[in-house]
Amino acid sequence: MMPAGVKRVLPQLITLAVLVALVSAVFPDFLQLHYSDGRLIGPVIDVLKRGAPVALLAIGMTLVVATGGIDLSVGTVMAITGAVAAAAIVAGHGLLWALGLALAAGLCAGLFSGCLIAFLGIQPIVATLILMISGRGIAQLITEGRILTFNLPAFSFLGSGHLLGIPVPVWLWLAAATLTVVVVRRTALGLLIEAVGINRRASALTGINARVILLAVYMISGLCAALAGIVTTADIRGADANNAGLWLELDAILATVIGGNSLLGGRFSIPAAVIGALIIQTINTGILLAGFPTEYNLVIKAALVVAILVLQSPLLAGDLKRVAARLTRLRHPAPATKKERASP
Amino acid sequence: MLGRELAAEEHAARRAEGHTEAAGEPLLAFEQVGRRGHIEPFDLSIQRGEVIGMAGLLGSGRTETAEVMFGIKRAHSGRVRDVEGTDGGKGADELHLRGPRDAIAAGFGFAPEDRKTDGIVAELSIRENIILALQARRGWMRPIPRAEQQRLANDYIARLDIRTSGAEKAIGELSGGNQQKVVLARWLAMNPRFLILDEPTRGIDVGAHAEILTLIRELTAKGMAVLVISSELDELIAVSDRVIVLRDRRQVATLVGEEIGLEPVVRAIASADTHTEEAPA
Repeated sequence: MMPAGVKRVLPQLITLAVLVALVSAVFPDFLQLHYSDGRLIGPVIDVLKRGAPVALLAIGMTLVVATGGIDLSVGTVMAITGAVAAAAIVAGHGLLWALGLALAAGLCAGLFSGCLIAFLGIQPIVATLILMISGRGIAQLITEGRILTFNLPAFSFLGSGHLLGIPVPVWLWLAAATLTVVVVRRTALGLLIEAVGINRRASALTGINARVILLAVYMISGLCAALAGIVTTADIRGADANNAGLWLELDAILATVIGGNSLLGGRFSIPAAVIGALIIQTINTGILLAGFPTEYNLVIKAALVVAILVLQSPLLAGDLKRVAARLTRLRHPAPATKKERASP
Repeated sequence: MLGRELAAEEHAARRAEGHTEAAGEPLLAFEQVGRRGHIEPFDLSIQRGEVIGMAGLLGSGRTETAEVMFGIKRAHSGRVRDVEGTDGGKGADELHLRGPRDAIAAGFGFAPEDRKTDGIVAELSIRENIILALQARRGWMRPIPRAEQQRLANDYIARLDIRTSGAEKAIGELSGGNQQKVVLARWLAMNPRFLILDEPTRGIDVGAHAEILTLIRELTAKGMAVLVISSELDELIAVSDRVIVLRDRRQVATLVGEEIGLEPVVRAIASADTHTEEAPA
């Protein structure tokens, strides 16, 4: 028997392994690693680093999705928080101010969406759409319509630096995911989130403060988006209000779903969602490395995603089990009755 | 539905038990509590160890009364006094029930009528469903240790005879009666002073029926007050010390002691003006 935690992420791990094998088949150097100049270099490290923004977003998205909600605003919140950080640096404030203000902006964005959802009862998809649409405008107001560039090595370190040979963004998503898993599983927060996601009314009747839980998950999602925005901004040493985090909310939702988390809410797994983010990045990088003409990229990505979702579908899993059972029966025919046992 | 002989037997057993040492002490007083469009202002005082039955036709305001009492729907008028432990109600605390959390903090419990939509959290395990209210009261920062959760779950599975292959089974996979027992276990784990049961035996097999009625008797013997809403009059009569009858969102009768019987209850439910033809026989 393997531990329940490993069993839960097994489909995602297998998918990732198959993808890595596929990419290696068309690009044999995919798993090559070099150590030079105090840092590890190789396509795999590149996947881990470039996957950082979506991995960070997927952490918050998983908690939001567990409550039966969705957060469409995370991509633009990345743009807002990046703009806030860059503006703070350009205005002459130091690293701590830039980080503090960016994280606070992310929390505020989550608080805004969370209030609309928890207190006004607005549907999550509509409530977060507001910020998704208006957020780029807010970011442009902060950057005054320009790409705000800055030079602060301590801040750029968060996007392009290395620690123990590994890019800092990788440490950031690893730390954020570990911290979040510890917080939700070592406290009762995870259970309460799942309860609210499965049955909000029954949860409220048992005395769970469902509003506070909803507020909390959108604020955590805003915080994760802020971290992703910081990483992206630090990496390119500038805040691009138009393109930072563009469409990444969709990748984050996809990562969560590939991680086997139901959009209807309920049981969730953050490690599986983060592996889902790596699966998406492996596809992105793999397509580039395989040297397909760029116009094929999105179509190939879509085909792979469809294949993954079909293979993971619970209905198909049931069918496969039935097929396997039939095959064993054919090989070892049962003596008497052929009657299928109806579920009790 | 319970056979009438069984009902009579229950009733007699209940009377024979007499009062426990705690019974009769005043616990709560609802004074002119009402909500416009839902329930006319009513008075109801509740004593420890008492079973109050609530009868009435569908739409007579029984569930609305329970929801106002548990704070799910806010009262527009009146007040609720916490009488227990205060001298004759002097200086009694007024309870402000702005939501279920306030009611739970005051020691109330509520097993709703619609188990599937309002009671169980279907995909969570029996263990998680049992500890849910307890955990909500402790707050998310202080998780109940896993060993303690397992002990509680196994304890209630044995005590309430919940038929399951284990505490980790999802509650949605259980039969209606066993789901209801888990919901009851959830509240018993909270050790409430006042438990509201809305149609506790609806959609449950006869065996579980009797078990739940027995359980109600045991609980009140320990001093808990229970309000039972039921459409099954035999059962309501069997288990109640006092029967309140609602009609058209208004309390129309209170029956005590010898008055509790099928005919007086039916007469109160159906009396005079409307609805006579719908009265259950």
